[in-house]
Amino acid sequence: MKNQTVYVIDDDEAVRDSIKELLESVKLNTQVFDSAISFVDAFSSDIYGCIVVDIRMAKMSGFGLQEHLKEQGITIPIIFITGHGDVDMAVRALKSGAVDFIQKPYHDQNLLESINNALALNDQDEELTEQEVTMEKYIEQLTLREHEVMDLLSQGDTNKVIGKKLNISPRTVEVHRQHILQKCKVKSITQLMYRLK
Amino acid sequence: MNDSKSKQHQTPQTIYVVDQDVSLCERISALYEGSSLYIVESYACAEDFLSQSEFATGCLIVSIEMPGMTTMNLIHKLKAQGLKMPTIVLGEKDDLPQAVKVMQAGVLDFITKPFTNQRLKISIGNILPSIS
Repeated sequence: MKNQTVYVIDDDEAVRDSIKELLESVKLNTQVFDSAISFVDAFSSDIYGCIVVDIRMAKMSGFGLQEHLKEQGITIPIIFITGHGDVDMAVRALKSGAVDFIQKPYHDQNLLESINNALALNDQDEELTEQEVTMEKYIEQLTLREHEVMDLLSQGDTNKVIGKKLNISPRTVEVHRQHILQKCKVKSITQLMYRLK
Repeated sequence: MNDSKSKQHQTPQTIYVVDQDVSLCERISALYEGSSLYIVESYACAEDFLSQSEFATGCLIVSIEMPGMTTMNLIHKLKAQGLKMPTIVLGEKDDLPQAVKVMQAGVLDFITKPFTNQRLKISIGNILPSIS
């Protein structure tokens, strides 16, 4: 959560102030804007954190902002808040990548939780990328035979079936399996597959 | 890659429908009657759906209103099993937080009842494009 900022965009001053107060009370960095345009004017690509934005604003709406950011190739979690939403709009928002859609009036606690979840996503992304790189290095250490065994294990084949396919004993397959788990530092093939996806 | 010859041997994909409303299940079945690309299989509740030993490739259409296991629990169970099952939820217009929760869980569409056949078909077409 370090160095992350919550960017709050709402044309209603009372809402901006109230959210700012709420976030500052829990020591979250906050910046407020009265329109999507003023936010876009203030920033280029060095935004880090999440955006809380009203759907319905003059000139550029919340959806418009989301589109704009996508076009710029900027990925940042977006939470929509609105006094006017319906289910179809919420579904549309989530399909287009928003992480949450909250109706006004909202409970402070719900908004906070949503914001914290969004900020945590950024941390997770960083962790995941590191994990991916490490796993690739481990995979490179596998022998050709271990690769073959790993591929068949990932399909769900048993040691017996793999043994038949590769013309080796199930016992040997098991030995390879243990080596794969050791080299990749995982406890199971399922875990390995999950990390590789 | 795939050439036009392999089109002759496409395995149909299965559209699983889980809804206690029998007429809805029948309605969806009727939509795909005679289709060589899709088979529809209906179940009245999550438990029945889950009791299969094997799942064919396809998608799941499930109602938000279910006896027994809830829709959210079903979704989580499928995820935990690592099963690839693109899902559409059929729900009510008046429960926005529920719709959001369901979408956040990874469901690909949430269609409010009552819905048109076209709405459903388009959604299914988006998540299960026919192999070309």
